[in-house]
Amino acid sequence: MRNQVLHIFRKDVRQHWAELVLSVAIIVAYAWREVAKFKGSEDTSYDILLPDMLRNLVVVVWAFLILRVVQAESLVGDRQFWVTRPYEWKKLLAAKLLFVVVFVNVPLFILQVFLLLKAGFPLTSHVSGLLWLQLLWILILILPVATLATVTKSIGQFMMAILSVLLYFAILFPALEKLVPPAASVPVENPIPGWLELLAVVGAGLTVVLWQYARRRTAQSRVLLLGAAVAAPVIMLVTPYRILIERTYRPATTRQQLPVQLVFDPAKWGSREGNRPEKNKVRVRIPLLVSGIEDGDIVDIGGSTVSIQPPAGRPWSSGWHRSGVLLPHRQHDQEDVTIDEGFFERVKSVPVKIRVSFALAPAHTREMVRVVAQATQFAMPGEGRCSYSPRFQGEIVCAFPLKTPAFLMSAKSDELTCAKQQKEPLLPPGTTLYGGNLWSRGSGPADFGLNPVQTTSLGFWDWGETSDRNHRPRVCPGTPLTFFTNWEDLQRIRSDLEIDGIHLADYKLNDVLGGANGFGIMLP
Amino acid sequence: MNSAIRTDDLGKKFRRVTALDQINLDVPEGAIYALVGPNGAGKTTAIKVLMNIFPPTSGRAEVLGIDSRRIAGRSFTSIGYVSENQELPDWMRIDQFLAYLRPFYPAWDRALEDGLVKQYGLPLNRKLGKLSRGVRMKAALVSALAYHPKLIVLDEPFGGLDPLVRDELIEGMLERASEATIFVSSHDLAEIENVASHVGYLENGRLRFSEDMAALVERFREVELTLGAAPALQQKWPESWMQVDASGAVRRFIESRFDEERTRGEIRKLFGDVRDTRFTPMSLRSIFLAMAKAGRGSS
Repeated sequence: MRNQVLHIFRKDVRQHWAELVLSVAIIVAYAWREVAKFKGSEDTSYDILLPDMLRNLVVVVWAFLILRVVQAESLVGDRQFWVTRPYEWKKLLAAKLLFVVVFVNVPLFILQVFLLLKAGFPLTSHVSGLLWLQLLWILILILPVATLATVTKSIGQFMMAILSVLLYFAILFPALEKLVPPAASVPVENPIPGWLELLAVVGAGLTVVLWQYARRRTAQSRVLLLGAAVAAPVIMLVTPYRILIERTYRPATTRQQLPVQLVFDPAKWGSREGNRPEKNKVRVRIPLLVSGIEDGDIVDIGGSTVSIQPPAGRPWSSGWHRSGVLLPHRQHDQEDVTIDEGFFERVKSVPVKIRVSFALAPAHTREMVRVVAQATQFAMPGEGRCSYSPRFQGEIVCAFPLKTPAFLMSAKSDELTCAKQQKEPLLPPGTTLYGGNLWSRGSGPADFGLNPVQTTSLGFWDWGETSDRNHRPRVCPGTPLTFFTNWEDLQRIRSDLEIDGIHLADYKLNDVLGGANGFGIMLP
Repeated sequence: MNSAIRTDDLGKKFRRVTALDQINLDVPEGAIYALVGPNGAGKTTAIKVLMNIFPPTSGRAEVLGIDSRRIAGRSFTSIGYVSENQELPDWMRIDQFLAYLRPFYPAWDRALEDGLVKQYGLPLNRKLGKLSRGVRMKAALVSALAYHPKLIVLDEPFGGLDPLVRDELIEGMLERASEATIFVSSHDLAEIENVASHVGYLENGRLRFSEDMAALVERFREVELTLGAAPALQQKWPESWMQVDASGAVRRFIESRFDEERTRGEIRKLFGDVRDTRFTPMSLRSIFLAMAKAGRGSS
């Protein structure tokens, strides 16, 4: 039969027409509420929650559609009528793909184009981003659901499989937290292990789908999926993170100019309250003085490691862990480190030698724009459109097409307009306030989501300078802002800081109630 | 004569359980082959291996000249398969089901379809999921016969059906016998003993015999001997004798390799002169039961 693909497709449409109508209705409702949100007509918590509920419903309905259409010609079992009929597996697979494309991918594309246009963003410059979103949806929703649908026979079995996956993650994440060193979160060049994990999971999914359609070997396919589920964490466990970090961040040569100077700040901090550390651990805060960061630059501390050498006995090392970002005009920072209580008790009163290695990833902005926040709509770099929203006692909310760009925003404390209008606590004069989003540097052309219009509120990070911690400095209409965007990564480098003769007892953090955060530089 | 189905040492294991053990089967083209055996003997497994629903664990099978492992897609334009426990698309009406299948088969015969629908009295506007077992089997059979398959494979098609429906199905099947090989499995011999040309007996995954029906009936006899006096109890009988029963001077047994001259010779050797010897032909059902009892006894 020439048009077997279309023949099966038509049958599937007839079989699932009710689900299709339902999915279209939910998508339309979702689009309607999102458009209402653009217009700022969110008056009640119902208005805020409804789009989230509808978004979740859209995802559930799509997952259900994929499941139903795959299981319409079930690949599991030995009693289905179609296996002894002249179905050609490639055409059957093509028919199912066509169904998913027509009733999931195409509606997704239309919905996203519609929302983008409704938000006032041009379509032409964002087609590649929309295609990227399609790829993300395929990898995050369509492929996993289709994979599980090919190895299950019924909705009940599918739900059991979903529960198994949730249980797997519920066991895996805490286990990985204990087993995988914090060095895993330090960004490195050529992150081959990450690609291998992705390859193991995506490759297994694709292989299972193809294998099931070609051969219907469910037991083998399930074993393959289990193999991938085991392989991904094993790759994380066997990755030589230290080697990768040290290859990525080469030690600075004597002639090389460092992007930042970090020295020990002997002045002790006034506040030494920290989160409660894990059992049998002690947290120590090493104060640092920061200098040498040019305007328009940032220095991402990809990772840091602290080693402590007591006058006698074995040294102790924290291992590499993720740190934060250093910014111009911010002179004080600190390295928080969690130490074994036994070691701390042994060396706390004797002068020790501390060596802190920093893996530095400096970046330079290519674009600096000054903007005055306004009550009406105003533009910001990255095609952003911002406006004052009366929600939450007033905030500036910005919308971006496809993704929130990586940006740094700064303002001078004495130019804040909210303080004048609303009597907010005063900041020390001349303080440079920062805010923004630096974490999406290097990510893809679009952030995963149903709505391609990304919204974020402009706010400042709080380093504790405000006298009242319950009132953080805010951006209000009239506040002059400087935006730094379009970052260029500079050479990654490693810098060491040695501190001699320090008494750890002087820098121990007092415990307060709260979660244990491990160690790291305090981030905004 | 060519073989429609042929297997060489075909085996199938489910983990440690042997479902089929070195099956050697030869179904000639044009035959109506009945694969019989008790429940759990391996009949359905054998058929599913032949249809490539299960892969064999060992040996090989050919169906219409194609390796069973390659049977898929277009191969099924020549094979009509109906099974008692087949899952049909319950949401479809019978007419939708037939209309859906039509384009898959280049040789689909609309007139034949209409004729069969009429013959079976199928309610075309009823959903498959709402049909009784008998009507459902009829619908499945129509969908498997309407394209003139060269091979019709029926797995326990008559189980649980009332005699009227069963006869209707058999009648429909026989009408196709002139143009197809029919391979039918059943645990109930009465259903097929009058129609099968060949028979295979499967037990505990092993094919005990597979042969032409006439030859099978010819080689089985119930034998009754009346001896001159009650002889001492005989311990060792010829292997081909089954269910030997002694009652005074009368001996009864089933001869599974009947040849009058040879059988008489063996009787003479064991009992000397016999006052009376009676050989009674057996029905297929009696043969089947005797085989089943013998199998149970040996296992």
